[in-house]
Amino acid sequence: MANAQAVVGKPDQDFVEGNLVVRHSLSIRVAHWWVAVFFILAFLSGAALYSPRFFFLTNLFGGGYTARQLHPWFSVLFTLGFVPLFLRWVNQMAWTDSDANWVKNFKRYMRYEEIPDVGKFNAGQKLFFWAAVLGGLVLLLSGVVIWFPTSFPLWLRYLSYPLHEILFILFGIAIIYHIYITLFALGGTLRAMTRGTVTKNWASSHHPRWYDEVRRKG
Amino acid sequence: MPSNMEIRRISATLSPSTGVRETPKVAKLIDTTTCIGCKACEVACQEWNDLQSEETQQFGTYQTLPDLTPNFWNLIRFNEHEEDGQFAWLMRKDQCMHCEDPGCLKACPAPGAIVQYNNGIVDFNQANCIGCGYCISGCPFDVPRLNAKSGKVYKCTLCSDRVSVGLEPACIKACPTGCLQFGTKGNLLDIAEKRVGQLKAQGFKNAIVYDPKGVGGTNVITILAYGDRPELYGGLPKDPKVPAYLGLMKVVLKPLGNLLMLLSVVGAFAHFMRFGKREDHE
Repeated sequence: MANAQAVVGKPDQDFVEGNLVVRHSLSIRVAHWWVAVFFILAFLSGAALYSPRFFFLTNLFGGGYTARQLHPWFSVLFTLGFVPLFLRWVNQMAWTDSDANWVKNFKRYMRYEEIPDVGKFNAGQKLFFWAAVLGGLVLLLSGVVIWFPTSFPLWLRYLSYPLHEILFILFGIAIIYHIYITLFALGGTLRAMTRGTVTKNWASSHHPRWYDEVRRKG
Repeated sequence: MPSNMEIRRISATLSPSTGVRETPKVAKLIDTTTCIGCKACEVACQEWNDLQSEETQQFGTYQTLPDLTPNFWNLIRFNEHEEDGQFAWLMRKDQCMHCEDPGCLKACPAPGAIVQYNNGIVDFNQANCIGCGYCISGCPFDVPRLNAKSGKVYKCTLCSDRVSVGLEPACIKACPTGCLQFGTKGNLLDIAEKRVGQLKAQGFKNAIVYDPKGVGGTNVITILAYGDRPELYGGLPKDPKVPAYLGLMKVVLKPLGNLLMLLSVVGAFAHFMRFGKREDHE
C-alpha cells in the first residue's frame, strides 16, 4: 500500500492491488477518523447538555463547565476535517438514474440482495453524505448562535436552540445506523476505512459498477 | 435549611424537588410612583452582595449604567415621559422578577444551577452553573448576565441569604420613601391594589399592579401609573411569556428524541437478528 502510493503518477485509490481493491486513500481515511473522533466528542458533550438523563457524560470532559467550553471547539475541529472530505467526495456524490433505481430496491438491499449498477457510492451513502452536509451546516450555524447567545437577536436564538436539538436527534439516529452498518451488518466494510482496502468479492458484491471501472483501468 | 428556603424546583433534575412544607410566598413591591430615583437601593445591593463597583457612564441621563451587568443586579431605569403637557420621570427598578414560572430555570441544562425556593425566590447556584447562557435566552425580562471572568451567570438573589434568616432584602432596608416594600405576596398585592385605586382616583386610569400572568405571576410586583404601556418604563414587556421554544424542547423534542434514538438501536438489533451479517458472493 504505502509503496504503491509512492509511485509517481499512480492514483491514491480506486485501483486493484493483488487480491484487494484500494477503496479509500490514506488522506481520506485520516480525514474520516478525524471527523469521527470529533463527532463522537461533540455528540457526547452535546448529549450531556441535551437532557439531564445524559448530564453524567460531562464527567468525561472534566465537568459541566468544561464540557460546555469544549463542545463548540469539538465541532470546529469536526468542520475542519469535514472540508477536505467534502471536496474530495462532492463530485462522486452527484445523483444519477441508477441511484433512483437503488432507492426503488431499498427493501431488497435491506435483505442483503445484490443491487446491480452501483458505483463507488450507493444512493444510501449519497443521501447520508448530503444529509450530513446540510444537517451539519444547520448544526454549525445554530451552534454559533448558541455559542455566543448575547451577540444574536432573540428570535434567532429562539430558532437556534430547537433546531440544534432536532439536528442532534437526527444525527444521533444517523450515527447509530452508520456504525451498525459498518461494524455489524456488512462484513468486510470496516477495513475500507482502516486499511483502505476491500476484497474483490466485496467490491463486486456491493459496488459492481465501481469494481468494473477499477478493473478496466487495470 | 430554613423551612422558608425549601426547594420547589431544581433545574435539569428528573427527581422530585424536596419541598413539602406549606410556606408563604415572599414578594417585593416596587411603587414606581413614589420612587424618587435616589439609588440607595443600588448602593445597598452592591454593598450587601459585595459586588465590585462598576464604572458609571454619562450617557445623557441620571441612570447609573446603560444596562444590568454581572456585577450590578439592581438598576433604576430613568425615562422621561411627556403626556398632555405634563412631564413625568418614570423610574423603574430593573432586576430579576423572580417569576412563578421561571424561563431561566426551564432553559437551564445544568442540574441544580437554578433553584426556586418554596417562598418563590429564584436563585442561581454558580457552583453548578456551566456558563452556557441558556438562561439568558430563556428569561423574558433579559436579566441574567454572564461574568466573563468567572464564566458564570449572576442576577438578583432577592437577598435569599437575608430572607433565609428573616431579614428583608438590602434594597428594601435602604429605601427612604417606602416605595420598596417586602412581605408576603398576598399582603403586598392588597397594598398595591389600594395604591392603584388611589392613582386611578388621581386620574391615572390605566394604573396597574404589574404581575404578568404569562410567567405565572412574579414575586417582584411593580405599580405602574401608565399600566397600559409598561414599555415606557425602560422596556418592561407588556405581555412577557415563558418562551415557547422551551416547552417545545422539554415536552416534545427531548422525549421524542430519546424514543427515536432508542428505537433506532432496537431497529438495528432487530435487523441483525433477522438478517445477520451480509456475506459477499464468491
